[in-house]
Amino acid sequence: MTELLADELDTYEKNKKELLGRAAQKYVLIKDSEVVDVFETPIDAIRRGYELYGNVPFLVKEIREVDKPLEFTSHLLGV
Amino acid sequence: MASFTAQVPSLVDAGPVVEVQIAVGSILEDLLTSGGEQVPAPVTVTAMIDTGATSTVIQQDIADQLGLNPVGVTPINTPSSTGVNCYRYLVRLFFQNNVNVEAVAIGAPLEGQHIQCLIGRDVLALGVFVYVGYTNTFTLSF
Repeated sequence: MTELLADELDTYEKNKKELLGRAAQKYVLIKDSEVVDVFETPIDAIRRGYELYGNVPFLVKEIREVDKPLEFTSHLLGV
Repeated sequence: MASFTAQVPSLVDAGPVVEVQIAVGSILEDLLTSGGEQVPAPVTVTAMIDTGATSTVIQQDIADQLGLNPVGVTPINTPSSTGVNCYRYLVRLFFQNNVNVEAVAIGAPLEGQHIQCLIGRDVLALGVFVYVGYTNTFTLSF
């Protein structure tokens, strides 16, 4: 389930090496094919995304070599 | 420190469940307000405080009801799946006594019961959670 952010995820992958080199474990804001900026916290990146684009899909992502999945022990999650 | 205490008939059976209002995040609310746009009304749901959840989860259709668009995507692992990508949304959670926190919640299906939100360790990291089993009460403070 990534259709709404497919372009942004593609942009992330294309720029991942460069981002890891300069901003590992920080948070990148990406809209379409543009790497907008890098931020110290996800909230700062989200704020900038809303300021620039409004209530539309954009990607805020921690810059990591390998994505760290979030863990859930509950059987309530239907995935 | 703002706090509330809730009591349920049986913490063993029901778990620490509480009514929560889920609203758009404050950043989006400010943006909508300044643009003269209507802010979607909060959605009232039953939530469970879940120390086994890394992140807060909202039922996917709540994001739709609030008119939210995703601000990220992340893989999650559950007992029955690994690496499933889920959207993330900035929301505000209002508990009793006007206790409220901001969270970047995952949108996912929550099945089988009456729970529409899991309060995860991202929110608990901001406060104090006290579980008093012998009185069937719990307290959340921020």
